[in-house]
This record gives sequence, C-alpha cells and structure tokens, in this order.
Amino acid sequence: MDASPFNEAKVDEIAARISDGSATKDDVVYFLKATGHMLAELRDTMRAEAQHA
Amino acid sequence: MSAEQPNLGKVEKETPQLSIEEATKVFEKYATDEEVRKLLDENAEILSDILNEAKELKLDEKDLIHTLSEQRFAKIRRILFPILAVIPPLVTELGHMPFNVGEIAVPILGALATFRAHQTIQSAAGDIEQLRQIIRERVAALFGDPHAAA
Repeated sequence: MDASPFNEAKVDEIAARISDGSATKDDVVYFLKATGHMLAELRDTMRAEAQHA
Repeated sequence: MSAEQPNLGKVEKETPQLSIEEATKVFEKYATDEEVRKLLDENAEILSDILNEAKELKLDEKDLIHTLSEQRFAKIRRILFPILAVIPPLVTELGHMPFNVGEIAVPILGALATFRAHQTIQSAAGDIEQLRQIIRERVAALFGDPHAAA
C-alpha cells in the first residue's frame, strides 16, 4: 500500500512543527495533501467493500 | 469491547503530541490562503464521502474501530487523532450523542476539524455554536437525531 507519494517521516516532522508553531504554509499544504491522499485511500477501500457487500 | 481495541491504545503512543493551541493557530493562520482553503475543501469532501460510505456499509462504531485499527490505515490514525484534539468543544457536543464518541469519532471529527479551519476563514472566532449546528446536522443525517429520540 505504500504507493503513497507522501513521506510519513516528513508528515511527522511537519506535525512537530505545527506543534511548536513553526510550520510554514508549505508544511500545511503538504500535511493537507497527505491527509487527503490517505483519506481517499480509506474512502476507496470502503467503496470497494461496499461493492462486494 | 475493550479487549478488541488494543490498537487504539497504541495510536496514542504513535501519535505525535500536537499542542492544541499551536495547531489551531497554524491552521487558522493559513486557512485564508487559497491553496490551503482548496485543500481543506477537498478533504472535507472526501471525509463526507467516507461518512456516506460508512452509512452505505451500515458500519457501526465497532466496525469503524476495526477498520481504522488495520495497519494499512496507521498513517490515517497518526494524522487524524492529533487533529481531533484541536476541537474539544465538538467532542463535548458529540459526547451527547448515543454512541461512544471516542470510537466512532475518527471520520466524523476529522471532517469537523476541517470544517473548523474552514469556518474560521469566513467569520471571526466564536463560531463554535454554528459549527456545532453543522455537526448536529451531519450526525443526525447519518445516525438520526439523538435529541429527538430522547
């Protein structure tokens, strides 16, 4: 499943920067894109399961 | 049920400890940016899809826990849980709902977190009541109106 274009370690680093208030706009954009990608994966999985239900 | 959710306990250990205040500031700071706003909208749309799929699949809270406990969704847990911490007033609101908010809250509160950031774009702070209303409507659409049931 790790066809994800997002680097998990980087996401963690960004989370840390969000926590200490030093996150940049680029950080937030990356964070939201990663979140969206992962959520889409969950949605697609659920859709596939619904089709097989 | 507690014996079936060891992974949720693990989640808290895995999750980077985000400061609620700082996370809120960061999202609010950039939420007016067009690119960020667009991403927030997209995430909200996906989360809305997830809620609809959950309804379609008739997933109950236990099912959702099971799904999100799977290893393949570890990254989702790692990201969403700290986001959820940003919106304690909404957790309180959902605490009145007829299910265990700590368990079913992942997809719902993820959507809410997105809405919160979005909402702050459009009006000043103090929109929690309005946001709560959004939540109530979304939850009621999925699970019925718990207040009416009482």
